[in-house]
Parts: sequence; C-alpha cells; structure tokens
Amino acid sequence: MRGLSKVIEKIILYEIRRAIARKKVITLIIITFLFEIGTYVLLDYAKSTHTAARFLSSIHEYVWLIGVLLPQSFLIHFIAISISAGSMAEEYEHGTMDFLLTKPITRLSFISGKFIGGYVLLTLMYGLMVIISLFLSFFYFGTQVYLNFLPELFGAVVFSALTFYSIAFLVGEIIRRGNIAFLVASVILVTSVALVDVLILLSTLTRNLSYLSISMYFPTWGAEEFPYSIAINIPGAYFLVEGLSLFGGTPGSPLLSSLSIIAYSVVPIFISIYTFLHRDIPKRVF
Amino acid sequence: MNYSIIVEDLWKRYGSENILNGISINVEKGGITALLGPNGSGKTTTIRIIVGLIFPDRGKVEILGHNPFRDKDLFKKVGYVQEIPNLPGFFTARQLLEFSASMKGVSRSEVRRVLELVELKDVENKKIAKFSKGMVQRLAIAEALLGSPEVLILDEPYMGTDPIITMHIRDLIRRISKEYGVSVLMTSHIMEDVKELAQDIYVIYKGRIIFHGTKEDLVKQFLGTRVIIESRNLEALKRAISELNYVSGIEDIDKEKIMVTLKEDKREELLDYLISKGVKVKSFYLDLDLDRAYERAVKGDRENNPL
Repeated sequence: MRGLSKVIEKIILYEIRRAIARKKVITLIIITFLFEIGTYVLLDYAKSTHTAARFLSSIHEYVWLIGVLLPQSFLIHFIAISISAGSMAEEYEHGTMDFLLTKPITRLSFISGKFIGGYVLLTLMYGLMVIISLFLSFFYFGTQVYLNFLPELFGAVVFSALTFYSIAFLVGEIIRRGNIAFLVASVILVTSVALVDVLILLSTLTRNLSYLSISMYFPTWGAEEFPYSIAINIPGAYFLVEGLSLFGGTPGSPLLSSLSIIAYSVVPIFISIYTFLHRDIPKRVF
Repeated sequence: MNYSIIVEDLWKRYGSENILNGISINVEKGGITALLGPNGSGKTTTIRIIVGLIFPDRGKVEILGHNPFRDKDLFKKVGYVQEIPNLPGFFTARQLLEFSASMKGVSRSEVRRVLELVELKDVENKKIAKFSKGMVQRLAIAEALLGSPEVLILDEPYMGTDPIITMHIRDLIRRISKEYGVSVLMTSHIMEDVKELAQDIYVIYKGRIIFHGTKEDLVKQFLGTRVIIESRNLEALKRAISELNYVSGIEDIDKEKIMVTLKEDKREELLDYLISKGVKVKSFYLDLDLDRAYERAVKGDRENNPL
C-alpha cells in the first residue's frame, strides 16, 4: 500500500511538472495574476467616482470576497478545463504514454496520479489567486472581516471546480486529442452557463419555478452555486454575494449543489478509469 | 528450453481486419531473437501486446513467467524501447533517467552508469526536446538499461539514426547480451542486424509467422545451400564440380570466386571431394544472403497468399 502511494506520488509530481512546462498553463498563471490585480485596480479606481465610492464604502470590509468568489463564476472552471483536457490526451498525442506505461505502475495508479496531479495544480493556482486577492484587499481597502470563512470558501471553490475538471478529463481520455478535448469541454461549460441563464430569465418572466428546477440539472448549477450557498451565510455579505453570483436567486441548498458536483464528477471519473483500463494504447497519434 | 518471453497464439483484430493471426514466439534466455517483417506485417502490434500496451483478442504472453498485463512489477526487470522513442521533452536527460530510476526502484548511481554507456554524459543537462533523433534513441536505450534488466525489447532500435550511431547501438546490444546474459527481442528491417546479432529469427507477414529458425536455416529454406568457394584456379574448380549430381548451379562472382548451389546440404562431402581432386581452395563458406532469403520468404508467401 505504501509502495503504491509512492508510485502515485511520483506521477502526481510528474503531472504538475508536465503541466507547468506547457505554455498554456504558464499563460493561465499570467491571466490569473492579471485578473486579480486588474479587479482590485479597477475597484480602487472606482473609489474616485461618487456613486461607486458610496457603494464600496459599505462593503469595503468584504472586498476580499470579490477576489475569492469572482473567479468561481467562470475563470476557475476554464482553468480546470485547460489543465485536465490535456492531462491524458497529450500523453497520447506526444507518444509518451508508451514510456510511462512500461514502467512498474498499474494503469489505475497511473490515471489516479494524473488526475490528482492536475487537481493539485488547479488548487495551487486558485490558492495563488486567493493570496493575491487578500493582499490587494488589505492594500487598497484596509482591514477585512469574517476571514474565518475563508478556509471553507476555499474548499468549496476547489470542490466545485471538480465538476468541469472531471468532465474535461473524461473528454481528453476518450478523444485523446488535447485541443479538441479542451474545445468540447469549453463548449459544454459555455452552453450550460447560457442555458441556465435562459432558464432563469424564463422563470423570472413567466414566474414559473419549474424552469429553475430544470436549471438545477445542468453541470454548471452545482459547480457555480455551491460556494455562494456558503458565502451567503457571512453576516452582512448577502447583497455582495448575490451580486457576484451568476445564478443569483436560484433556489437550492449546499447539500443539493454538492450532490450535483459529486454526480457530475464521479460519473466522468469512473468512465475515464474504465476506458483507460480497457482500451489499447495506440502508437503516437499524429 | 528456458525462455524469457513466451508468446502463444496471439490474435488481434481491428475492425474487419485481422492484424495478428495466431502468433507464437519464444525468446531464449540470454539470446537475441529478431522479429522480421515488412511494414504493416504485425511486428509492432506483437511487441506492443508483449509489453502490455495493447490487449490481445486471444492468446497468452509471459515475460519471465509473469503476465505483463497483471504483474507490473515485472517492468523492473524489463527494458523497452519503442519504435521512434517519444520521451517527455520537458525533462533533461538526467531528470528523465532519475524519474525512471525512481519508478523502477533503482539507485541514482545507475543514472551515471547508463549515461556513460550511451555516451550522453556531456549532454545530461540538456532538455530532451532539443535532442537529435540519434540522441533520443540512445537515451531511450539508456533508460531501458537502467537497473540491469533481464529482458530487453527493442522495436526498430535504429529508426532515424545515422550509420555511426547504428553501429554504436548494435555494439551495445551485442555487449549487454553477451556480458550480462540479457535476453533481447528486437524488430528490425536491417538485415545487417540479423546477420550480426540474432541467433534466432522469426519472419512475420500479414500477421502470421512464416519462418522460424536460424539465419542459416532462413537461407537454406528459401535459397538452398549456397557455398562460396575461392580458388586461384577457377577453371579446374568448375570442371571438378560440374561432375557432381548434387550441384544444381554454378555462378561466377569474380576472378577467383564462384557460388555453388547444392540440391542438399552436402558441404562436407563437397570439400572432401575437392581436396581429393587436388583442387586448391583458398576459402570455402556458406553464403548468407539474408536479404534475398528474406525477400524470397515474403515474396513466396505473398504469391501463395495474395492480398
């Protein structure tokens, strides 16, 4: 058992190293920096206008939430897709699967290490965003409150990112082409976001709640809603959290949204493992 | 007989096409076995099944008595070089070998040994992405040799290498097999390899083994027994030989050499006869025109089993 975990650990480190070596991931890290810095620079600039200054003064102690929750709406899922779509697919494309699978490692350990490795990288990248956001919040807006919610929120965002991380991982394993897998998973994300928005709009216009119920079956619903369902409990942060939420006003509990995340993650993970354990490893795909 | 690799009745089908039709191969312990065949004959598919990358539809594979699909620890004792090695380009040569050594549970001192063995010590800190084809090939061989494996499986180990590197790799294979008793299974297009290295040959064509034996057997079976005789007096030699009923043909090679085709293997009798006739012979040896024998083997099978 110890030997097995050591082997998985080696693949995890391999995966992190491999992902960082890719230009795509480096670009994402730069985007992460720019996103966080840009957000706070803009908020600071907004202080100079009268209306915005009044609004910001009422939430200035909660500004850390903006940097922590804003990536959750889209960026974190996009980063998750970028990392996981190529995780398996690029090994096929580069022909390195042969090299890796002719080592003393089972296919199950290998795919586990690959999955965990990419997920650890995603967590580290989000951690970096949170650190930047905290630093800039203190720097531009002074003392921040209710930071005791941060670990729970951090965990919720990382957990919710699992949905599209798993979907893209599965698409990559099945299609075995990194760029196409990235495209397909991104289309699923965007389509799901768009359809849920349309359903919320229909529900508002027709006052028919069944549209909202349908929206809860989409993968983005749980993935988007879960961290907000926790953040909404922060005293005095209700309006800010509602404003940040992409699906504001959607009913649902942390339990329901976490079940959605689990369902949309576990199924792709199992299918990925099953296909990887039973399919042939082809020669390099050109 | 003691075998390192046993392949029994392998079948593989892709769509409607049968890629392998009951392949059986045995690789002797400490020996070098070559798997020959034209492109698309099933060599690489066979090798990929042996190393557990492709599942056979039917059949059995054993390496050192273990199933490569189930017992992955086996790969601590097996080195594999794929056809056109694809190694993670972001690693340096040293990093790759250290990664591989840690996977195989081999000490780091091994890294230095294998780097020196393939003469890549000078470029150990260079990224693999910047390596030439020949360097990648040598690095792949170094990687396969980590931890002194008992079995080496090489799929076209000279693909894309220049003649000097080819010679270097060939010497290396010969040395490790001879000095360390490593069993080698290799595929190749190059007859020179077979001539110099392989003790045992399998010819595969359209997913079937159409020949198995030694290189002498291959030549004998497809070209007959052909002897090259060198003598200063070719006329006397030819006159003496023409009287023999087991000689089916005589062909001039140059001013002092002829090639004699025998209906059956009566080499010793022929030599005794020449000596008894007083014909002075400078040299007398079996012609191993493997290229032609191999061509004949494949062509013959192609004629018997057209596409």
